[in-house]
Amino acid sequence: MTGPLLAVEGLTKRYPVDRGPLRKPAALLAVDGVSLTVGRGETLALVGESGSGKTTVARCLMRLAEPDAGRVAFGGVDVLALEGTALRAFRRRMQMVFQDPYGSLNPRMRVGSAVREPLEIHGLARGAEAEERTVALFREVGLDPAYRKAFPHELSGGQRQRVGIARALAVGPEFLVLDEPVSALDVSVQAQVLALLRELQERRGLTYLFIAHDLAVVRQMATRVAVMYLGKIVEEGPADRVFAGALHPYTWSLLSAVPVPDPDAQRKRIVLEGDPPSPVDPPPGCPFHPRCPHPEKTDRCRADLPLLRESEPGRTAACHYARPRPGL
Amino acid sequence: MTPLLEVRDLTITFPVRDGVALAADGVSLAIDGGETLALVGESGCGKTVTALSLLRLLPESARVSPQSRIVFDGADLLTLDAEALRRVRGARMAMVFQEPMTSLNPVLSIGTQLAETVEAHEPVRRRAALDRAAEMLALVGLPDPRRVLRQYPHELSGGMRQRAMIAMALICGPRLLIADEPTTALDVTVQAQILELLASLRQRLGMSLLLITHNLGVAAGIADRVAVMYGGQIVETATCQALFAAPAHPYTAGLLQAAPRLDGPARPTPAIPGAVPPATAWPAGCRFHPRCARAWDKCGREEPPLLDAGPARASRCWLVADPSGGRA
Amino acid sequence: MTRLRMGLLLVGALVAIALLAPLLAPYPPAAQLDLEALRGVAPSWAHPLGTDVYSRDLFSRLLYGARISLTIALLAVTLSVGVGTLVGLGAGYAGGVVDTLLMRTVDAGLAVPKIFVALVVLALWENVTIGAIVAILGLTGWFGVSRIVRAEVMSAKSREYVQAARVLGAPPWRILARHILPNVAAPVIVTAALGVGQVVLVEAGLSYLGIGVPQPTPSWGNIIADGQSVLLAAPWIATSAGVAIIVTVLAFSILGDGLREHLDPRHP
Repeated sequence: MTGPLLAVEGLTKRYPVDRGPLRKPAALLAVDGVSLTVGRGETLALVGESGSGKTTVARCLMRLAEPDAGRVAFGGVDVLALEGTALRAFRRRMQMVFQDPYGSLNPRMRVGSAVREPLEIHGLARGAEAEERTVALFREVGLDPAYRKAFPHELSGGQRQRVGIARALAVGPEFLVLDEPVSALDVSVQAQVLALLRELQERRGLTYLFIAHDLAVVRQMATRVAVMYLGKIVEEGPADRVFAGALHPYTWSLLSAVPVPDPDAQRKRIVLEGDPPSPVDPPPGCPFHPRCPHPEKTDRCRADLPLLRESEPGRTAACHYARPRPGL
Repeated sequence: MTPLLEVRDLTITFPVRDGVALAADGVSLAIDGGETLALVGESGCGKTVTALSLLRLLPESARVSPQSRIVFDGADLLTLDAEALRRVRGARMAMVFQEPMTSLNPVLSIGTQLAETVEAHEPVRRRAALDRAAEMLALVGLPDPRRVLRQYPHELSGGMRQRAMIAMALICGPRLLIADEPTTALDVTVQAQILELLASLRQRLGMSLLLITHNLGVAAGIADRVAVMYGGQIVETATCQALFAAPAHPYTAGLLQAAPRLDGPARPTPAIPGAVPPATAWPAGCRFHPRCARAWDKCGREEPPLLDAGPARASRCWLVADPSGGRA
Repeated sequence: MTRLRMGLLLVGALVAIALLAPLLAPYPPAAQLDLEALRGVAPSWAHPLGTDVYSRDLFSRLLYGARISLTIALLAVTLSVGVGTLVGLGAGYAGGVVDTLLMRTVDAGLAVPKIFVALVVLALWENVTIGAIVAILGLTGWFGVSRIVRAEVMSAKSREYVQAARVLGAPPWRILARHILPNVAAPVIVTAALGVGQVVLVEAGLSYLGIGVPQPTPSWGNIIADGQSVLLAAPWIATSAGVAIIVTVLAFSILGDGLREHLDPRHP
C-alpha cells in the first residue's frame, strides 16, 4: 500500500478554561491545526516541552480525547469516524505505551493478567493458549516469565515499562504511539528500553510515533522529527538534517539547552527568557516571538503568524526567517 | 584549608518489609568553600538519602550509625541539639528540592514564606523581611518581584516556583546550598535557565553547592568535582574534567556510554547489562561486579575500598591496584 | 496490637455472640418467667444481669438483642453500600446528564433528615417487621456512599491505567469491574464498617421510641425504653443495653479506623 501509514491533517483540540462566574470561559488551544504523516516502518519523533500539545495529539490519535477538528487517516481508514466494533478492531492495529510506568499499570492487577487482558478483550486467545502467548510476550520484552505473578509495585521502573510494552504488543499492532516511554527511567535502564524498542521495531516491522522532550533520546530513535510549540508544529524534517542544522529558533534553543556530558563542550548556550507561555493567552503573531533569540527578528514577527512552509526539500519550518542557527 | 563540609563514614539503614536496607554505606566526601560538588547516581544509589541526612531530614525509621560524622564549619551536625540544628538549617546550610510545588506551602503567599524564613533566623520586622524577600526574588531573576511576593505557588509556573524556592533557600546567605535534582521536573529550556542561575549565584554569593543529580550532562555543566555513587557507596571521585575525559570506574564508564548524547552517533547507546540490586541484598565483594564487563574472581570475593587513582582521584575498583584485571 | 487487629477481635466477638445467642442464652428472651417473684430482680447468679419489669431474663434479652441489632445493622449497611456503589459507579463513570440527574437525587436525599423519614414511615406502618426496618435504614443511608464512590471513580477515571484499558479496547463494564471497582473499594469498606456503628445507634433510637423493633423481640433500644421508667429502682436494665450499644459502636469505629490505616497508604 502506498502512501503514509498515518496521515493527520489540521488536528485541533480546545479545552474550555473556567475564568470564574462572571467571565466567559476561555478556550485553551492545546492543539492547533497539526498535520503530520508517518510512513510505514518509520519513527516520527514529536518533540516539545510542557504546553506544546504533543501529549494531546497522542490522546486524540488514540481516541482518548475527541478532537474538535481535523482528519486522522490510518491505513486509509478515517479513524475519527470509527465507533463500536470498528473502533475496537482499529485498536488492534494501533496501540500506546505510556509515560509513567507505575501509573499506567493497575496496582491491584498482577502484571501477567495485565498483559493477558488485551487477548481476552479481543477474543484472541483464552485459557492455556492465552497464558502461552503471555509467556512469549514476556520473553520478547526481556522479562522472566516468572514475573507474571508479580504486582507492579514489586517491579522496578524498567521492568514495569517492559510490561507496558508487552501489553501494547499483545494484540499485534502495526503502529505504536510511545508517549515519553523512557522519561521516567534511569539512564542505564533508558538505554536498555530504547534498545528493546529498536529491536522490536525491526523484528515486528513496527512504525512508531515517539513523543519526547529529551532531544538526546530522540536522536537515537527518530527517522523524522517534528517540533511543537504552543499547539503548533514549528519545524519538521528528517532527523539527521534537523539535528545538523535546525531551521527554527525554538529548535535552536531546544538543542542548545540539552546538557551534554562533556565539561569542555564550549557551547554557546541559548538561554531563553521567561517560561513557555500558557496556551490560554497566546500572543498575536508568531507565538514564539516574545522569547525568540533570532538575530533577524523584526516587527513582522509580532504581527504576522508564520505558517509552516517548506524551506528546503522535505523540510518545513514556521518562521519568517527560517535558517540554520548563525555562528555555529 | 579545612573543608566547609566533611562527611565521614556516613552509614544509614532503614528497616523495610523484607529486611534492612543499607541505603548509605561508609560515605565520605568533602566540599571546600566556594566549590561545587556533583553527587551523581541512579535511583537506589543512596544519593538522596545522603543529602537528606546532612540536614537531618531523614524519616523517623532511618538509623544513622554511630561512627558517622557530618562536620560542617567545625561542628558535627549529628550531635547538635534541636535548637542548634535549627539555627544551621536555612541560615548556614540550605536545601532546594526537586518538586517546587510540594516543597512550597500552597496556602501561603511567596512573600510570607520568604519573610518567615528571614524572621526565623534574624531579628527583623516583617517589613524589612519583605524587602529582603523582594531583593532575593530579583536576584533569582523573577520579573516584578513585588507582585510575586503577593502571589501563591500555584499562580507561578514550574520554573518560577523553582526560582522562588532557590530564593527562599538563599535568603539568609547560607554557605552551602544542597540542590537535590533541582531541574529534573522542569522543561529542558527552563532547566538551562535554572542551571545558569545557580552557577551565577554561587559566583556572586561565594557559596558552595552540592548538586545531586542523575544527569551527567547537568553535572558536567556546573561541577568542579564529581562523586559517583552506586550501591550506597561512593565509587569514584575526580575533578569534573578528569572524570569525563577518562572515567576510572567501570560503572562511571558504563553510565557515560549509556547516556544519550546530542554530540554522539545517532544510534542507540550501549546499555549496562543487568539491574541495580535491592538495597537489602547488595552483592558480596564489589557491588557492581555482577554487571561489570571487566570483573574477575577477586571482585566477587573482596570488596574494594576507595583506592587512590591519581591526584584528587579515587576509585572503588580493583583495577586501580591491578590494571591487568587478573589476566596475568 | 494494631487497631485493625483489635477491631477485628471486638467485632468478631460481637458477631460470635450474636450467632451463638440461642446457645448462650439461659432463657428464651420473651419468656416472662415469674411475674410474681422475678420482676425487676437485681443481678444474681441465676440472672447475671437481673430481670426486667416483665420478669424476663435480661442477659438473654441482651444476647438476642445483639443478634437483632447487628443483623439489622449489617443488612442495612449492605443495602446502602450496594445501592450507593451502583449509583456512584454509574454517575462517576458516565458523567454528563446521568451524573447530574443522579447527583441531584442524592443531594435531595441528603437534605432530608434520615431519622425524620424513618420516624414517619415506621410510625405509619402497621406491622413493622425487621425487614421493613432494614429496608428503611438501608434505603435512607446510601446517599453518602454514592458520593464517595463517585468521587473515587472520577479520580480513578483519569488515572493512566484506566486510560490504558480504554486504549486497549476494554468495554466500559470491564473497566468498571476490573480496573475501577477494586481501586475504589478501600474507602467504601471503611465507610461501611463505620456505618454499621451508626446504624446500630439509629436503630436503637427508633426502637427506644417504640417504632423500631416491636416488642417482645428484644433490641437494645427497646430494652433501654423498658428500663427507662425504672431507671432509679433497676438501673441495670437500661445501663446494660446502653453499654452494649457503646461497646458495639466503639468496636466498629476501631475496625473502621484500622481498615482505613491498613488499606489506604500501602496500596496506592
